[in-house]
Amino acid sequence: MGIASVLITVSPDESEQAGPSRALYPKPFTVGQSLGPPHQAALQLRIISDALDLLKNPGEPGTIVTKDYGPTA
Amino acid sequence: MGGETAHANLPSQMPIQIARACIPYTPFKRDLNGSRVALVTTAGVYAEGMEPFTDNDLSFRKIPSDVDTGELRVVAGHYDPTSAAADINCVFPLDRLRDLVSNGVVGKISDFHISMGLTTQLRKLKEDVSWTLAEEVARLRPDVVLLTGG
Repeated sequence: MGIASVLITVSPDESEQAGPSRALYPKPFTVGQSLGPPHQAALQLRIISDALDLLKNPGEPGTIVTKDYGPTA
Repeated sequence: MGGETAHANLPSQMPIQIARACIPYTPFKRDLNGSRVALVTTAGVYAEGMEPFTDNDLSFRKIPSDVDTGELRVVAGHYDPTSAAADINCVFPLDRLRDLVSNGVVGKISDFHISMGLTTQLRKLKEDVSWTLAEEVARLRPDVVLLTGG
C-alpha cells in the first residue's frame, strides 16, 4: 500500500517529467511563491484546500490541474 | 522477402512512444478530517539550529510539527528566497495546515515533515536517497503527503 499524495507545483513542465500522482498548478505564481505572495493567508488556504481536494477526484494518475488565482497583489 | 522482420519499417508505420515509468498512484479513500497529513518539500526549508542546506545537497531535514514557523529558514541560491523569508507559508504551508486542522478540515498533522534542498544528483536521489526518504515518510504514518517545491 502506498500513501496518497498531491503536489503543488509552479513548474508544471518539470513536474510532469517526475510523474506526480496528482498535482495542482496555481497559476500565475512562480518559484519561491508556490502558494502566492507573502502574508496572504486566505489565498494560501484556498490553494492548499484546492490541492487537497484533488485527492477526492478519481482523476487519471499524473494529472496536473491548472487553476488561475488571478493577478498577484 | 521471408527474412524481412515485421518491425523493419516500424517508425514509419507507428509512432514510437517514449518509454515512461509508471506513475505511482495511491487512491485516497478516507475522509480528510480523519486523516494525518505530512508535508514533504524540496524548498530547502530548515529550522534555526539545524544545518543549512549546501549546494547540490542530498541530505534532508526533519521539521518538527510544533516548530515556530518564524524560526524556519530557506537556503538562498535555489530560488529567490525573498517571499519565503518573509512568510515561509509561500513554499511550506505549515501554518495553513494548522488552520485546516483547527477548522476541522484535516484530522491531524504528522509529528515531523521532510525537507530537502536542491540537487542535480538525480540518479543518486532516485536510486538511493529516495528509499531512505520513503522510509522516513512511512515512519510518520501519514494518510496524505502534500508535496511542495520552491
